[in-house]
Order: sequence, then C-alpha cells, then structure tokens
Amino acid sequence: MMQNRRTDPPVNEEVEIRVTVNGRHFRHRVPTRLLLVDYIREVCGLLGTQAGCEQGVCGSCTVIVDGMAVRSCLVLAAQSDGEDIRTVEGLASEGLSALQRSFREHHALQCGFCIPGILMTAQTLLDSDAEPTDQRIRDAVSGHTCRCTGYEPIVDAIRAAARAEVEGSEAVL
Amino acid sequence: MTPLGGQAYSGTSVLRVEDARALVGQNRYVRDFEPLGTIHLAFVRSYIAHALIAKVEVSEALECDGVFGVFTAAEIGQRINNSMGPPQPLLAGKEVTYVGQPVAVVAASNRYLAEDAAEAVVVEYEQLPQVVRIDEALNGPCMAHQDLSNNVILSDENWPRELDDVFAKADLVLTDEFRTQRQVAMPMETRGVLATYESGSGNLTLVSSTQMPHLLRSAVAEILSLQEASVRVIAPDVGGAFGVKLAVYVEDLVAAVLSQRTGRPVKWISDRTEAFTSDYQSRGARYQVTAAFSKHGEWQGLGVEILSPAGAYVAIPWSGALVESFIGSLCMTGPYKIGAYGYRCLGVLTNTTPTCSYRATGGPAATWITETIIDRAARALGCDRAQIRRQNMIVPGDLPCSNGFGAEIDTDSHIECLDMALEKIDFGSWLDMQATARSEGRVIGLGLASYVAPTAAGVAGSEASLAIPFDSTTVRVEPSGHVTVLTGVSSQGQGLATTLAQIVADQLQIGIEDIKVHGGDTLTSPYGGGTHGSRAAVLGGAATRLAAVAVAEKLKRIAAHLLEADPKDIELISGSASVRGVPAKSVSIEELAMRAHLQVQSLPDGLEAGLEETRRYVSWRPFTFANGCHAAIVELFRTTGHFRILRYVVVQDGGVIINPAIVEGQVRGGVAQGVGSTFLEEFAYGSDGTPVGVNLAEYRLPGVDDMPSLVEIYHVQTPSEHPGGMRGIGDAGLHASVAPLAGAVEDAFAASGAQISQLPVSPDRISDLIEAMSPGTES
Repeated sequence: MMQNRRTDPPVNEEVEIRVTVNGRHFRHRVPTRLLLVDYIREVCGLLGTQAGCEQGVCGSCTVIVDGMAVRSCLVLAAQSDGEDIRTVEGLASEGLSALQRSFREHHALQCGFCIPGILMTAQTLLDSDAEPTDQRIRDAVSGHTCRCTGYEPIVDAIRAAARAEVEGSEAVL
Repeated sequence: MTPLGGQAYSGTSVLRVEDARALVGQNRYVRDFEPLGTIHLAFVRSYIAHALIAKVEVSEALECDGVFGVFTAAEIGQRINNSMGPPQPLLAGKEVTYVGQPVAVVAASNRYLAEDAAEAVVVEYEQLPQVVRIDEALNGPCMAHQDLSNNVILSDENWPRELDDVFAKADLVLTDEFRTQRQVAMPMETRGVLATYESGSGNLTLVSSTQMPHLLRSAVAEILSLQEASVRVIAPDVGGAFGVKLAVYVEDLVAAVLSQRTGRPVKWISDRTEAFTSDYQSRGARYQVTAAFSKHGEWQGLGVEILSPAGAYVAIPWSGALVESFIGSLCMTGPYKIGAYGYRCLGVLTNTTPTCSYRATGGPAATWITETIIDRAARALGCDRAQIRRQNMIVPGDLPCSNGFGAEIDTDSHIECLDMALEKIDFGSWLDMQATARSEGRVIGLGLASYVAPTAAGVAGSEASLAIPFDSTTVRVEPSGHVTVLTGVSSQGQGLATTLAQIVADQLQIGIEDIKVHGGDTLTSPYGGGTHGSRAAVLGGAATRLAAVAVAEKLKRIAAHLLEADPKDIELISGSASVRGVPAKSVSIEELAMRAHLQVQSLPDGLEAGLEETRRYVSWRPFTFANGCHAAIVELFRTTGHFRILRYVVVQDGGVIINPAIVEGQVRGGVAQGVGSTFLEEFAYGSDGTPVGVNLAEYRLPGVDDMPSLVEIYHVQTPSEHPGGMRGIGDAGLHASVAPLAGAVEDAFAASGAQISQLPVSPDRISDLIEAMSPGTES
C-alpha cells in the first residue's frame, strides 16, 4: 500500500509592506508567503505581469525592482517592503514607449504572454547600456522563453529601439 | 474613414492590430477573469502510473482554512465516453492509469488555500503493473487498464501486394527504425478555465483557453447533459496553444460541474508543474521503414509501419496515436512520386498522459524520415542529393496527382522551391565549404528538406468528423459605417484580427482601422472549427472574403439605386461607392450604412434592411497542401556536444499571402519548435511510468541562443483553389524543420557512416559521434 506524504501545515502569518509600484505608493497587509507576482496582480490589480512557470525559468513574470530585472515568482511580496517596482503598465506614461513601438514595428510578439517580462528585461538593459551589442541583447533575452516568435524579431526590436534612442529620434528604424 | 486610393492591404506587412494592447499589458487571459465570489480549484493527482485506489481520505482537508469542499469520484461521477477506448472519468474512482490523473479536487477561497488542502488529502493506492513503453503495450502481458484485454486502440493498413515484390527486386533497399521522443507543446500560458452556472436559467458560461470553442461547447453540453444552446464558451486572449489546447479536458468539465454544485464561479489555472503531466502530449512514435531505389535513383517503393502512443485514454477530439498515424502515413511520401507505397499503423494505450496534438502532428517525423531516406539513397548510389530529389519530384504537368496514400497533392512548385533553397544556401560550394571546415577541425553538415504539409482539413468521405470542414464569418457594417467582423476561427496569437481585417478592408475599400474582428465566443461567433491544422486563413479567410464580397455587393446595389446607375457600374473606392468613370457621382459608405439602418425607405424595393452577411466556406478537398524546402547548415562541437545553426533557409509556398510579416512569424516560430524537437526536448518516463524532469529547467525549450541570428525566408505563392488562394501556414515551419537539422547532423558524420534515427540528437549523442569520427577512425 502506498500513500502520498503530508508536508507540514502552512504558516498563515501576515506582514505589512509599503511599496511603490509605477510611481504609486501602496501599503498593504499581505500573507508572508504571498509571491510578488501574485501581489502585483491580485492586490495591486495590475494584470499585465504574467506568471509562466512559477519556477524562475521562463521569465514571463519579470518586473523591475529598484532598477534590476527580477522574477516576481521567485520573490515574496514581504521581501519587497520599501522597494520601487515597475511593471509593464509603467513603461509608458501614455501610448507606447519607444521600446514598445519597436516591438510592434518588428512583429516581435504573437500571443503576447511572455512579452511584458521581456520588455522589462529589455528596458533594464537599455537603461544600463544605451548601445548594447547583439550579444548583450541575446544574453538578456536568453533568460526568457517565447514559444511563438523564434526570438529573432525580439532581438531586432530591442536593437532598433536602442538605436532610435541614441539617434534621439522618435521614429523607430 | 480613411480613404485608401485603391491600394491593397493584402500582401503587405500591415502592423498587427493586436499588438498595442498586448504591449501595455492589457491582454486578458483566462487567469485575468475573476468575478466576485469565485472559488478556486486545486487537483489531487496520482503520482503512480497504474494503481487501484484503496481509499481517499478527505477529512483533514475539509478542516483546512478557506475550504469550500473536497470532491472525489463519489461526488463527481461523470465520464467522457469514447468509442475507441475506455471511458475517462472526470475524477478517477477505482483505478488511476497515469501519473497526473486527477483523483480529487479541492475548492477553496483562493489558490494558496486550495493547494494547502489538496496536500492534506490522503490517497491510498494498491499498485498495479504498468505499461509504459509502446512496444510493451503491444507485446507485453500488462494492460493499461485492469479490465482491458488488449492495449491496441487503432489498427489500420494499406500495404499493396506488389510492394514486397518491389523490395525483393530493387537494386537498393534501405531499412531502419526511426524513433521520435515524447513531447509536450508547452504554450507560455498554461491551460485554465472559469465556469459560471446559473441554476435559474440553466446557462453555463465557460471561459477557457481552448482552441476550439464550438467543439468544447458541444462536448460539455453532451457530457453534462445540458442544452448546447445553454452553454457559452469564450476563449479570451489565449497565450499560445500549438495543439495542446484542442482537447476536451477533464478539468474544464470538473469546473463546470462544481459551478453547478456550488452556484459559484469556479476557476482553475494550471500551474507549470501540473501542465507537464496533465497537458496532453505528442510524438513518441516508432517507424519501421523500408525503401527501395533503382541504381539510377528512381524511388520505387516505400513501406512504413507506425506504432504510436495514445497514453492512458483516447483524447477527444482525436488521439495523438490517430493523428500521428494518419498525418504521418499521409505525408510520408513527401513531394515525391514513389512507385509503390504501403503503411501499417498501430496505436496503443499506455500508462502515460494521453496524447493529442502538437503543431504539425505527424509531419515533422514523416518529413524527417522521407528526407533521411532519400539522402541515404543518394549516398549509397553515389548520386547528388539535390538531383535525386528533383528526379523523383511531382512536377508541373503531374497534377492532379494522387500521392501514395491517396491524397490529392494540389501543389507543383516543389522543384522551384528546392532550387531556390539550394541557390540561397549556396549549395554549389557546399562541399568545398565542408572540406575547408574539416581541415580546420570543425564539424559541419548541411540538411535539406522538401516537404508537403497538409492544411485546412475539408470534407473527407461520408463519416461525421470533428475536424469541421468549413468555417464561417459574419461581416456587418454598423450604422456609422464602421465594420464588425465575427468569425468562427479564434486566435491564440496568430494575428487573425489583423489578417481578416486586411481581407475585409480590401473588399470594402475602407481603412483597416475601421474594422474590428472578434472570434472565440460561441455566443457571438458563427459556427466554426477553431484554429488548428493550418485552417484559419484558408477556411476562415475564405469565408471572410465571401461575406465581405456579399456586403460589397449590397453596398453597390444601394448606391446604384441612389445614384440612378446600374449596380454593375458601381465601384467601391476610398470609402465611397462611385459610378465608374464619373467620380462626381459618388456616395460615402457612411451614408449607405446610415440609410441601410435608419432610412430604409430609401433602399431599393425588395432589399433587406441592414448591412450584414454571413458566409460559410466548405472545403470539399480532404486536404489542401503547403509545400517548400528548408535547408540548414549546422556546426557541432566536440567538447560540449552542442550545436550551432550557421544558416537556415526557408523557401515556402503557402499560397497567396495576406500579411508577409505574420506568415514569416509563423514560419520562424515553427522553426524554433523544430530546433527544440531535434536537439533539446524529451519528455522521459522512468520504467515505472514516473515522468522525469517535470519543469522548464529540465525540459529544455529552445531559447534565443539555440536559434540562428537570422532565419532566411523566401516566398513562392502558388494560389490554392480556395477564395483568396491561401494554403495555410501555421504548421509548415515545424512540419519541415526537424528534417534539415537532423539531416545536417547525419551529413556531418556521413563519412563515418553514422545514422541519426532517434530524436532528440542530444549533446551526449553529438559528443559520441564526434569521438567516433576522430582522425584515427575517419575513412
């Protein structure tokens, strides 16, 4: 006779956190075990961030925390107390950012599920390196899984967005 | 309304209308819907491949925080009946038959609490002998279900008597067994469902990540004994599907039953771990192949015996065993005229997750086998690889041409595509390039794949078919002159809202921004077969075109009446209907739309009010075909066993192209999946039926570093017979791409006689092959 194993019962404690998300200040009591991705989606109501694997592999849930690209499925909301978080909804104040426009112009998305995460990683790259080499772009994208596009247009879109920014032009190549 | 000046949208890479909202995070997948009062499910799944269920103890789980209920087969007794195999219970009651099968389900106020309680459910199993490998299922004493007497669910053959004579007499006979690995499609959005039932009306609404909303509606109505018209299925944004979201899954049905039971909206979102064992899988077949050639390279005979897994149940609408066999045997002859062809197919039940579809099911293996065989024949006979292909190809003048299976191949651009691919990849200097590389200690190979990919399944024979042979579209000009398009095909990211709008814009001569396309809702969409099997542009596109033409005709009739002209003299141009040659005599589409709705007394006598037409387009051709040639140059590395794709060339005949960038996106994405299928992915089962590595770190999907920096894509456009001339493009990229990659590896090691007959070509295998061809042993 075989039986499934029981793990220890969960600890249901709460903690208060203060975070800034896309420039707005929030204060919430959250369960200590609440993942940052679930906090962003279910508590802050920002549904653009998607959890693709909850294993830290696919990169879909990537957000920017204090300037760094972070997998929000691998971080607890409680750990984010005091942090400044940026999600896909915060990329452009209105319309599309240069990076988002470049993705559109390069047909760099199909189903769109992985795209918010890739945009956040790409934005982090462009914020730290105005003229990234193709290898740096590919290194950044290598932390993400996209099942639709084959990646080539994603790399093209990031490269073109960087170039357009450098040239100070609104137009994306 | 944007005047167009007669310019066509079709054939241009219009930017996708879908993208702006996706890019700002406004796509909405099933998981993003949650009405007040929603309860969440977590399934308790079997961790044993085959066992009797001795006891399910739920008392501790019922005590957990936030739990609404815990349900077993005692409470949810419905099953999915199937004429080809055993009935599939929504929850296993007596026996579990694969790892991942749901045994119980917890409903709780959120997913965290539901998972807590699911862990507190205690199941006692009495283990039974399991059948894991397909050869064990065929020959062994064990049955995948206790009360079965035979694991075989499918047996089909067509083996002409003369084939064995051809093999006996041929100058060259090649035999081999080819094996594909088990795979799972793994779209980035996992499956999910939100079920809402109202007892007062008897209405059930399912928001589901399905590829086939109308089929799911019928299945849910039948299994739950509801009226079909009371069930509404909505597929909102769907985050990729690739065949895995075709099937009718028990989780969707359990959610519906529990909404009936509780009166609450009930939601289940698969997590990635359970996707690995509960998403239906694909491939994992064996192919015993015999081929005969004359010494001059004439392909005289081909015989293939396919053994493929159904998993523990026969999936609805179709088992992977059925599709793998059917599509595999249908396109095994590729674009070639082969003297005699025969196939035998067997499908078996095993104690593994059921199989269904993964993009191009049957095609990647068939193309790989055909192209490997023709390469081996060229090597054995000392012929040129390109010439032996040309020599055996279907050529213009051969059409209509029935292939070995009996399918009518309706394309003849095979040599044109091959020659273009050879030119683009610089085949003429390939041997020099390979020799130079070799002298530098590098290992490179070139693979070629000419293929035919069946698309847009139509009417075949007299039987009922769940592959709906038609699709439907409604085009409606609203009173303002803006246009609503409702279609039976639905999108999982393919860009149908753009391509169908392009078709309508050209017919009505209005701007694409004035057209909104909606699909994926059975309440509003006309009946259709959903999106799979490269059917959406062919059948949905044709229906859209016909509906738009009908609306255009009506606009012309109204305009002719108002302008006192003959309808034949009216043309639509730049947002207006004008008398041809008299531009001053013109009326805008806005005015025509207003009159058709608000001033109907000004319509011609006998003309119905409104501007709405629905058309259904049936394909009377069992299959349409896309074709082309892929060519790849691959480098292999000794120390890591890794690969690098140096060049990848696609020449693609998908018929008339609506949007080149969208078509190229489909092809490139398919090629990426071919890279995964060739080198990376394998869903392995231990001998006890336990899956190995059920996470994305161990099941390696292709990443950016596995891809070449450029997939070079070229188009040939031979129109099909369907309105608009499309041939279907969704599957072709994956259909073709395993063959040139595996073929390039075999070519790289051809001098040592190594053969690639098993997928994936793993790093270990590559390292071993390089060791074996080290200078001491190289011929």
